[in-house]
Amino acid sequence: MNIKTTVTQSAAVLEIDGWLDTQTAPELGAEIEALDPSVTELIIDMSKLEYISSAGLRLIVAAHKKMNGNLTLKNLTPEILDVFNMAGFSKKLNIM
Amino acid sequence: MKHSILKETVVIFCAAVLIASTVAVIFSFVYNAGLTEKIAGQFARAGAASAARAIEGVDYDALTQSKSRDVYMQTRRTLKSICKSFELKYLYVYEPDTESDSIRYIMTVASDEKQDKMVASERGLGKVISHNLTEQEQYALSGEEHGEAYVEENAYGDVYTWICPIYKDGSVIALVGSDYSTAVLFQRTVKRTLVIIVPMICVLILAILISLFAIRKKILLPVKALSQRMNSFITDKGVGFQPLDIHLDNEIGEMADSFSKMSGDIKNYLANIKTLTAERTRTSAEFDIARRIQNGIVPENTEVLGKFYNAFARAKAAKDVGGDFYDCFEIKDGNLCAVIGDVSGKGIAAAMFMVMTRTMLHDCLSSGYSPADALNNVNNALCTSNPEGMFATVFAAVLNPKNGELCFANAGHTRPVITGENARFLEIDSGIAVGLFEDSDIKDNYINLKKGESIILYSDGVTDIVNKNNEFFGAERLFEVVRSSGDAKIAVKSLEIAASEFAAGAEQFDDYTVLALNYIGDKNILRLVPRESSLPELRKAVLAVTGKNRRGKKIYLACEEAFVNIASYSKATAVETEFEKQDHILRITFSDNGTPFNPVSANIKKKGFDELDSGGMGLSLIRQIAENMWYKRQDNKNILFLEFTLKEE
Repeated sequence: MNIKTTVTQSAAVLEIDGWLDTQTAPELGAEIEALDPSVTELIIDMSKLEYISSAGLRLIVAAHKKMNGNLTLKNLTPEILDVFNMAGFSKKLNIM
Repeated sequence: MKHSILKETVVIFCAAVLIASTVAVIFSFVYNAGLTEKIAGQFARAGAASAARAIEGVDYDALTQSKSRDVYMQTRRTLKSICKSFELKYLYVYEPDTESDSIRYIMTVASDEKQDKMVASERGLGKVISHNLTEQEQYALSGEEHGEAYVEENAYGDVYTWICPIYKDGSVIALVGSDYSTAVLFQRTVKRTLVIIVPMICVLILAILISLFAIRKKILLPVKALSQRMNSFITDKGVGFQPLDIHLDNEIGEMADSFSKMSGDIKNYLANIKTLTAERTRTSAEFDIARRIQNGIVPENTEVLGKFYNAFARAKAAKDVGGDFYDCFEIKDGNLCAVIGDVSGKGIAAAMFMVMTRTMLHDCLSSGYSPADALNNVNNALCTSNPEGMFATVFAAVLNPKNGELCFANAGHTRPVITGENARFLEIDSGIAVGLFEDSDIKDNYINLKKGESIILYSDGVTDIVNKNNEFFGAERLFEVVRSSGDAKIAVKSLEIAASEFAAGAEQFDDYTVLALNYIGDKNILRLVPRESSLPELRKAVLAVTGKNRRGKKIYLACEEAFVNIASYSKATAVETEFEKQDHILRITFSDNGTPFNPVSANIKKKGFDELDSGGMGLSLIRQIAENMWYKRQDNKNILFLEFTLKEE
């Protein structure tokens, strides 16, 4: 899994490439943790995300809380969206 | 030795001599005392009488009136001579005066010269002393000579006294007294006693010494020699077996002869035992070697594990070397060959025939012969060189582990059992044992084993086990024990336990041999360490079965969640993942050795969105993705079955 981070003023864009599973989730957690406190809006680009498991879902929820709801998921493939639907909280998230 | 017989005998003999001597002395002394007393009395009487007659023979008046000194002295010499002759102490002549109670001495003599001189003056002629007449003196005066001497104690010592009257012209004119000394009397008695007793004791002692010598020579020394020989019989073998140098014609001699005979017998016996033991040792060593060779050919346990099968065999020979055999091996094309057989008879001969049969069968099957071809070949070879007319029942099978095809042929052996849902005895002709007839024309048979089914081969030593009620273990009991067995090792072990419980310690009469083949089939098992780092391996395995498509990723998602649950919470140390694909159904089984947890019945706590960052989504995902899931706890393992359809999405 690769994460490409772009920060513009108060907004950050994370582009995740590959498999986000129990083994790789800590990398994403660390990346989000490392963001400057001035960042108040987070956009995660999932166009290249091939797979997500519950460990990844938990990080999304955590990031949502950290950003006070200013989290946007974009470019979800149908299979990733499917997982969010199964988790039952796709409606709570801002998915583009 | 506590006591010597010789010493004891000497003590007994001495005591006997002492007692006998004492009794003899007492009796002899009493007897002699009486005798000498009587003699003393007679001597005193005779002395007194002789003196009286001597006095009567001389002129009394000349004697008493001092008229003739010659007559007096002559008479005194006569009396003295009488006194000595009769061993008297004193002899005296006197005239009693009854009116004045006195006596007047006429003459006194003594045997002893010194005494004689003394009494010559003190009790000489005319000496008067006052004296009351004794009874004896009065008797004498009246003319009666008194019969008894009496003991008189006077100034001259204890004496026996005899009083005798002296007559003149028919009347008593004087008395004569004779004294016999009691001391002399005692001396005589002692002397007489000693004369009798001393020789007697000497003779007695001599007799005893001779007896002791004889006892020592005839009894003690031989017994001692015998005892020493018995004592050192085993320790001193050189001497122990020599004949004893005792030649006696009595019980002891007989005992010595018996002992000599016994030691000779023992010597021969020992020599025999030595020979026998040496022989036994050699035979036993050879038997041990034979047994080791047999154990090398027919090991007590054999396990053959293949990718698609497992096989396990157990053999227990009843005697040192037996006739049962089995063989189980994989050949070049990956097929598994299994042979079980039982040779007629037991012991070395059966073992040799067994080795020959087994080796030839092994060669044939290794070269790719079918079971029937192998059996027919071996049968022909055995028939051409079988002088003892031995034979063996054999069942041979070849399993193709890729498709479960089992090719088998029987030569008179017991019918095997097929285990599984459709457990049954294998239907097969009994056939004819190999080694009996040429051209026995054994045929191959085929069945297809289903996955998980096993074939159990056994010798009649299993079914013929007899318990204490004389009941056979039998094929039916065997069938019930193994019918639901999957794993070959478990089948063999449970049969061994059941058989041993049935026999309950009864002796094993026949060889016991069981061989089980379990057909696993095309099973895909992945063993994982329960850590997150194992996930790439799991992913690779899942996607290899499903293909790397959308459905495959979802199935993997369920697998990841199940695996992470086990890895994070169960404390398991090993996880096995088994994949079983049948048409469009994929079954994935997770078994772990962790703490019991049932993910099927576990309640999923409904959480709010904000709480979901703490987890709790995994189980829910699994339940949504898997078409079916069930759980069981078995052998201390959590076993979770997940069933997926491999539909396109």
